[in-house]
Amino acid sequence: MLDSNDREVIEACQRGDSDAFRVLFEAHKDRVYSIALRYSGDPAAAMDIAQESFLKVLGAIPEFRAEAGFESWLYRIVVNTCLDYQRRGRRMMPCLGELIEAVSAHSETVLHRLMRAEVQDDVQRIVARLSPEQRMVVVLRYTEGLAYDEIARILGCSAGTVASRLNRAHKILERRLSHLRGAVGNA
Amino acid sequence: MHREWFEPVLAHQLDRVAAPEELWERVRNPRVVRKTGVHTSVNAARVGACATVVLVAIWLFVGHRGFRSGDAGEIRGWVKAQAGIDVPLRARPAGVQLMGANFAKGSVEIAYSVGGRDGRLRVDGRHAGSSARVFTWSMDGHTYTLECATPEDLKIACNLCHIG
Repeated sequence: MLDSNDREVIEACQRGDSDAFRVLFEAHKDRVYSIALRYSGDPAAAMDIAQESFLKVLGAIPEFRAEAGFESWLYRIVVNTCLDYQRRGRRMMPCLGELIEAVSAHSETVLHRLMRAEVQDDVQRIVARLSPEQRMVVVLRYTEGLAYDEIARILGCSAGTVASRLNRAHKILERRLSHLRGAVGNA
Repeated sequence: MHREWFEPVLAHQLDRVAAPEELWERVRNPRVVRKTGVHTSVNAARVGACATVVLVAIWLFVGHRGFRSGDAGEIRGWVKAQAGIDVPLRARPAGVQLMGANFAKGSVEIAYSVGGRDGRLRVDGRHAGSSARVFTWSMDGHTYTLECATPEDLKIACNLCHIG
């Protein structure tokens, strides 16, 4: 449910108040961009997806009903935009940004940064190889920390389906990330 | 609840990040050209520049032209200028968010979304069969094809050109 502040901001957005939309954008931009980045694995694709998601929010907010949860509604828009983006065959690839940054850095921490970037690149690359349905469940679970029933509401499926997708994803990830087991210790 | 050893790794590596500052500019002005936010080496920049030239050349060769806007008037004007077709889009189609348009090989595609789901209105000379998610009709010598994710979206998408 919405608190009174959120309700006021959303109602102002519905009246076409651009300042209110900026408030809404600032409150949710990191959430939207992070889902897009973790799903696509590519900063440029994430910017496209985040931009498109907010444009959809702007266009659809007059139809948003206050009794519905705004965050669930927003999540649904971002999820659909991610899936549509992939269906349209746009570029999605593992994030190499940190690796490139580490290689081009000139400091004593190069090796450390390189190793850190390598772990992140590994994880992102392995997540990117999951099926779109499994990947989205993993992103909503680990990037957003959502409960199974919340994820189920957003994806329009049962909590059992979410648990099953996550279980299958876990088995794949455990196998593919096994080389990191010693490296991460008790992380 | 039991946690697998890799779950903290996933939670850490897939953690939320801050959105780049330029995102607001892209939302406020959808036609802003995308900038890359990644720090690349000189070689990577050169490779990127070459790839861009090749992509632009391919893009020009196949005749693709695209336009991003949420404004019906701008899209209508752009389509008319590019394809010579006056698509009677309404200024504020209820329940439909316009995204932009593409013109390639004599075919115009107007992109939109209904309730966050993508759809497209294609205008060309080819006939496409109608179904529960696709509706085709002819007007002024052009074939219009409305395509949506669901049959319900299709009814709402009619608002692109019609009232109610």
